[in-house]
Amino acid sequence: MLSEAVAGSTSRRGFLARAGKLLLAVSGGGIVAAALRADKAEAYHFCGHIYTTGSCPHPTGLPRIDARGFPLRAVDGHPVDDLGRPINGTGRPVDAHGNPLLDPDGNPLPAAPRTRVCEGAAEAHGFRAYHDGSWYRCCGGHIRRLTDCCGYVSRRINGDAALTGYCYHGRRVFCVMYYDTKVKC
Amino acid sequence: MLNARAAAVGVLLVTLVAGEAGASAPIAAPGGDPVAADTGLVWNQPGVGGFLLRNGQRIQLPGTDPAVGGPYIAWRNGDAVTVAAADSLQPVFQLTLPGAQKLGVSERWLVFRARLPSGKEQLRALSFTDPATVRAISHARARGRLGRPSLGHNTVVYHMVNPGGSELFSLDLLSGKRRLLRSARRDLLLNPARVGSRLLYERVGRCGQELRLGPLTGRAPGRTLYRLPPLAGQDAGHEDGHTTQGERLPCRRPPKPTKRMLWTTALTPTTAYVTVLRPAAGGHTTPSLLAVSR
Repeated sequence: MLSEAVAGSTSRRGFLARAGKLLLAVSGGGIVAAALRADKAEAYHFCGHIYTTGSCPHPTGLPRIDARGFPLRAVDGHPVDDLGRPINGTGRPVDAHGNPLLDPDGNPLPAAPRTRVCEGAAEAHGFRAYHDGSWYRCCGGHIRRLTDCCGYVSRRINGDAALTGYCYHGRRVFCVMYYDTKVKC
Repeated sequence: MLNARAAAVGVLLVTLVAGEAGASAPIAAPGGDPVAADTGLVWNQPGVGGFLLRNGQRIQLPGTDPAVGGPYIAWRNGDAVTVAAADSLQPVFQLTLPGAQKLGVSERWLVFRARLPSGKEQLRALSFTDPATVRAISHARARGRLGRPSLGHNTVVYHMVNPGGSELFSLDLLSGKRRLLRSARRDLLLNPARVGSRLLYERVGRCGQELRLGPLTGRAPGRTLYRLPPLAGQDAGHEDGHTTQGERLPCRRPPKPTKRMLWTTALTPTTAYVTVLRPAAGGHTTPSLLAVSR
């Protein structure tokens, strides 16, 4: 079993990412809770983030994503489109009760595009996006997967030199995102 | 129409909606889907029908989804479409157009968005020289993707929304030539209307909604005639108890979001018209029609 010391290490290379994935896959609950306790990370702008790289641009601010990299509203995990509107499973905008928004004739109002957060950052800043490695922390009672948005970049979104982080094959971290799993810790 | 315009301009001069860009004046509430021409302004009141505003007089029409253009005015009752003389309102053509929804009319053409048996929608047109021949002028698209056609002389403009973005098109009904006027990958470009070389359209973006008037072609964004706040707010960019270092917010100024949304438009040489949708129960929306000074 991974020790807390290992999981809490500030080394952010591939072994920990793969180990975290393995833990999520095989154990769920208690072991993960012990192994992936969050760092004291108040110095950074969201829980689990352990370096200074800025958030990826996100329609509602905090860079919360779903398992496929699409934007979720941080406060409640609701899917949102590129305009920040809550949407349903077909991408249509919905009201606060989940009803699809309709025009006065009863036709659905147009769906806006929904862009993967890393792809959106890459498009805006002119590089090709790669989702490489991740690391895991316990945040708010659930396991959080923190993901680097990687590319062949020399500068990160902050404007200074980009670092390797969890990126592979010479790619570097441009910005960061997170996915909150349902696994308790 | 001149009197109607003069009245609208008069109201515009005294009505300034704070924080929402240009001068605007209410025309009808509920009411929306305007079409404007020299012979008057028409709109639709959901559940009631079409109205014509001419010379300061408001006239209820015997049908829904009215359109006006050239010497004609049109309305429909289900699939039965009436094209009448704009001055006398006397019917000139009676047409049965299955699935007809939104209409546009000019001196030579009737265009409409049709609901197909498959549930998809398509833009179609017929010429008054051969009203029995209806031709498709767009591919069939899922509901909500094809905008209402806006017709002037021989040219129809409309929007199309796809998962990869939104596009504004013009189509010359004589030549069949289609032109992409504008496109956007992240924002929604919607509800174009045209007078001459000027294009009125909406750009619904992450940080605001704008009614813009610009050149028909080219990349110039044009002037913003009317503005509404964005359709969604934003969070603090950082979690409670954490620093702001590294946060990134979508809008420079924290937006005060609105649930109101810009919708269908019409354009004359002096005035732009825009429908504003307000949310109601069950996802439904209620339209109100505004006039905005150009």
